[in-house]
Amino acid sequence: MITGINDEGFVKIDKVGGVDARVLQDTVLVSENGLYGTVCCLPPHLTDGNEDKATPLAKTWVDFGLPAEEVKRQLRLGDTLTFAAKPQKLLGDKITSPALDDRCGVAALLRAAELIDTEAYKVILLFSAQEETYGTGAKTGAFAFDLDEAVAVDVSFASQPDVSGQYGKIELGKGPMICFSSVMDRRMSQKLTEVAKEKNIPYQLEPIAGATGTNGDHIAVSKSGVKAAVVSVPQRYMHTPCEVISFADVENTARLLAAYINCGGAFRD
Amino acid sequence: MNLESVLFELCSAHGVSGSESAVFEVVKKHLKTETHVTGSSLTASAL
Repeated sequence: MITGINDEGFVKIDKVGGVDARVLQDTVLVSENGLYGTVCCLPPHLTDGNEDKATPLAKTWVDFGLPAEEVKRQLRLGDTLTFAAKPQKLLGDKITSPALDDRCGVAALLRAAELIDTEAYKVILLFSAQEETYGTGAKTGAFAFDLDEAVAVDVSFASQPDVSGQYGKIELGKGPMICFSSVMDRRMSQKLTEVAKEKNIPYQLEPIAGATGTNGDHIAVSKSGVKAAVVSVPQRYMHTPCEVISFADVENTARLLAAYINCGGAFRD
Repeated sequence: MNLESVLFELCSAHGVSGSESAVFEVVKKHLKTETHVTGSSLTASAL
């Protein structure tokens, strides 16, 4: 978000949500009205020897290539900027793009909607904004309904160089991650694994001891409480302009959601 | 649905009032059921 414009026309920004400030340098941003600006980066010749360190956000400026009066005419304090990078296909079935977190979740829901074939009960699809800031969309969207159960769809960490521990074993293309968390409903998580096995849908397990950091946490405490689960698409380089996922994982996330719903969920009598 | 093209469309959506509004337009285009937008969310019945 634009928080200041100096006398030379350079624009001061702050981050909305969990943008990784380390990757801002040299990136191109685009404003709501379609203006492109490049994040200022000091040439290595002019640094004090610390050019290998990320510039803190407080010292990050954006150059729109215009004088101050023109910048102030076309941009306002509070305007938001997004990464200008476009999605690109990588080798295999991988895609790189900004905002795959969580637009791949949106794609999975749209695809699941095609595969849901039961009319035994009402199924609501909730597409919510602002998960990264306050969970506003999920909180208000879930409140509008009396839900029996809910499955949140997000992304989570896949293996990449220097990632070890449980996420070092999560692979792209090996299926959606089913979360087992103390704040989610264990019966739902278990049922999701059973459905995946029955339908030959690959899946991976994601144990999280506490809160999941997803909209599932918000939905679980909506009204007097909602049984909830979380299914995630494995992702590399989260919150950067070059997040990476596998198309197959999005398709299998949709298949898992649809199969879970078509069989009646975890609590069908 | 061509999942690949839908994903590209979603990731290319930049909105005037924050990117979520542009994403909602893509969702409306691809969902066959009636949609409702209130505040920061869009809801629809699956069938």
